[in-house]
Amino acid sequence: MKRILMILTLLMPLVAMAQSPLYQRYATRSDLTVAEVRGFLLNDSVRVDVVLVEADNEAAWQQLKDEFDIRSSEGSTSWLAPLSAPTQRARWDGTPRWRCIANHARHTIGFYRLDTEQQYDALLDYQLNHPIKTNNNKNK
Amino acid sequence: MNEKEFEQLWQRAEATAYAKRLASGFPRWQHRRKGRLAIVGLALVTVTALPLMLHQSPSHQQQRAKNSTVVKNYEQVICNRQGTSDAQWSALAADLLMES
Repeated sequence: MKRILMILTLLMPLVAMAQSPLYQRYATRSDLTVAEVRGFLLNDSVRVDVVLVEADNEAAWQQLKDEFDIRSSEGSTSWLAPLSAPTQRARWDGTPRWRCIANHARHTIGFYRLDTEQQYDALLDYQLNHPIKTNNNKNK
Repeated sequence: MNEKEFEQLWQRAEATAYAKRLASGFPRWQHRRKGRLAIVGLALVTVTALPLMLHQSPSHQQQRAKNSTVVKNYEQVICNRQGTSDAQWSALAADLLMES
């Protein structure tokens, strides 16, 4: 019993450190910098997990654009996607989704994991209530 | 020297002689007494010096108060590159939202 408890105690930090499949998918690429921000605070009580994929050069960014079917070349492009297929476009139906935001100037795509309606609304509020942000991207 | 001054000198001589006799008669107790005095002295020095050592300047205290009011807007950051700061990624997550 003591051994089991000891093993569990040792494994718990490893479980906590487990990265998301999306992070793991790009983390080994030498031309991409990938970060996973756990518990990014949207407001007083709502947090989301975010995966950020940053292309280190123009070629890598073009590759990402092709992979995610991003046709625009300026500003930001955003879409909702199923968790299992972030390249696809989907509408919000209350099931977990990625809110994907591609920023051309930064050569970065941010994937915001939305598991609940509360997170979905908080994300939109965050965008709307910020001085720079002006439009609502719901179901875009 | 008058009578009063002589009396004072006599008493002082008596006290000194008695202390010497006590010290010579009970060397062990005298040694312990010195030890106790040293411990008390050390305690006094510690009690006086400790608050001074822990004391922080007003500017340092203000900086600490300022830092304690900063709310960290993320729980944890994992990155595949070394040398990046966690706050940098959190800021990027915020910027992407704001700029979209």
